Amino acid sequence: MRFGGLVAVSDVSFDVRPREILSIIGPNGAGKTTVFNCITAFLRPTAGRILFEGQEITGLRPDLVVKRGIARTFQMIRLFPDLAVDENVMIGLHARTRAGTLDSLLHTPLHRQEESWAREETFRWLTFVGLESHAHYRARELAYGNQRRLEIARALATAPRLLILDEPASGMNPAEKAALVQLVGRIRDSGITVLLIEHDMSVVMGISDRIIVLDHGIQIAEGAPEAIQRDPQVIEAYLGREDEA
Amino acid sequence: MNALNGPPLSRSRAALAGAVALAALALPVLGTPYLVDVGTQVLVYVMLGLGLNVVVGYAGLLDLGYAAFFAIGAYTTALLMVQYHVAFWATLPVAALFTAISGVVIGAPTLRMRSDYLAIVTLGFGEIVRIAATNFTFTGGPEGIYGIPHPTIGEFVLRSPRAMYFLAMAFALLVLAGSYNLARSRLGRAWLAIREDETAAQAVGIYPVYFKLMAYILGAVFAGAAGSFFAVKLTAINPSSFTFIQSVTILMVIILGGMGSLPGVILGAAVIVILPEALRGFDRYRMLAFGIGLIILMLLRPQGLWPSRIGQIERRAVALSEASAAAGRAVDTASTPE
Repeated sequence: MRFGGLVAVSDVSFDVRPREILSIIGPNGAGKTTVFNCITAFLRPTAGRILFEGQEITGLRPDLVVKRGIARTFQMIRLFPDLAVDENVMIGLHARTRAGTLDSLLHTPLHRQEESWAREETFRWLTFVGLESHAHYRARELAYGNQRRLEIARALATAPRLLILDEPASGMNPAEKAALVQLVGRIRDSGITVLLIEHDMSVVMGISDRIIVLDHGIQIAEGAPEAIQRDPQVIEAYLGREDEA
Repeated sequence: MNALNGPPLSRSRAALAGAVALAALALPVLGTPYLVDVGTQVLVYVMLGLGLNVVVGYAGLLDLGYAAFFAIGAYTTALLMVQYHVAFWATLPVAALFTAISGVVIGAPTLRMRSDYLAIVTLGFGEIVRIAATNFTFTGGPEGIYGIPHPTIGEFVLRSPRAMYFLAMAFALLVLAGSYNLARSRLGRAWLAIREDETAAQAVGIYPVYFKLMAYILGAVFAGAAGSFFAVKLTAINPSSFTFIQSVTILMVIILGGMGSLPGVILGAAVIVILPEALRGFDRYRMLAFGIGLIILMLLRPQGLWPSRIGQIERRAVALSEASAAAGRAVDTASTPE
């Protein structure tokens, strides 16, 4: 996997390796979410290329990027709040089912077959994130941490090979954060590559295989967590600033 | 079964639904021709309401020109039968095709618009179709088309109010079955997702443009079927049946009933047709009374007479917990020695 120079941010170039957890950190406004939005095609980079599994995906439609195997969550949770928890996940299966208009109108055997598969698959992912007992609640009724987990379950339902999480731990209490770290680890262990934006250093240092540091849209460091923690430039740009605060 | 086990609310709803179904069946047997005709009108609005519900209720798109599709279906059937002597049944697929195409025509340019602009463009489309029908010679101008033959099944001619009622019922049931299926389908979920949050929908691989277009097409085809029926029921059509007020009336059916809810649309259609009939005693003030009645209804039940899913989930949760509590009691009773 290779993502080359996203000039929309400024000058960022990095690889994501299969089955790793790669974190992007950096102060607010460093351009982390912009990078994510370019990869998932919610923004079109003004220059530069994005390659996924050797194929160019720059400027593709967001739904087609999902079909290529990249799923995401949002910094501000974006669920379907008035739909049931299980419906949220079931909608995540959209790209993996193919019943068309007539199948939907007439409930053809293909549709029925897909629906029962979709219900099983939905239950599987709800169980994976630990929400199976909340299946019939409305999404908006879930506790904050569970809403984050539901959003992850919905993204996982698209069967991604790369999962992009935008500040999944923000607003979580320590117990929820610990559970999240454990969940992200299990996602990686199931063979999915994880790209993570996170502010919480305990989360980032705990789970990342590698870390990339952005500051003012420029990539200032890249390396293993221990190396990043010792990098003087990073300490000045990011960690140091937090220490002063 | 479910209705009996469910909480009281759903039991009363099941009773109401049963009563409506019974009334719908008893009407053609017991009712006067006038009442049967009122019932047929209700069924026409059921079809129209269900069709518009696909666009507005399911997909969350506003359409203020929905009567245009109704008109295109009616004119297609009328012209084919009068000018080309095509059998009624054979006009239906043609009407479906033409309305589907018109659904694309209105859908394609408006898909990237937000609701208020969408309202203006669809309103314009509705007016264009009506004015075109008024001014073209092949549509019969303001006089429209008359002498539309009755549909036949073999030797039997569907002419009596009762026969038309049953034909309307068959159409309405087909549209109802289609709507019911759509709500519980991959397509229906894609619409819900787009309606709730278009960006999130894209993030799970849904292409909103395609599904919005599909909502317009299906809504148009349903209205077209209603139009085809309308043409043979009245045997004469003219542009005055397809005004902006008609579009608003259909919208009122679904707002009154509860957006997205199938029983709601049926109830809404019944109110829209029956209320003005019931108010005939008010004579000159009839439409004034009708308007006041509608306002009172909306003030009392802003969510509609039979609201849809929103809130349904809590009821499901309540039903579940009641069921498990009942199961617990059953176990208690069983383990208690007599």
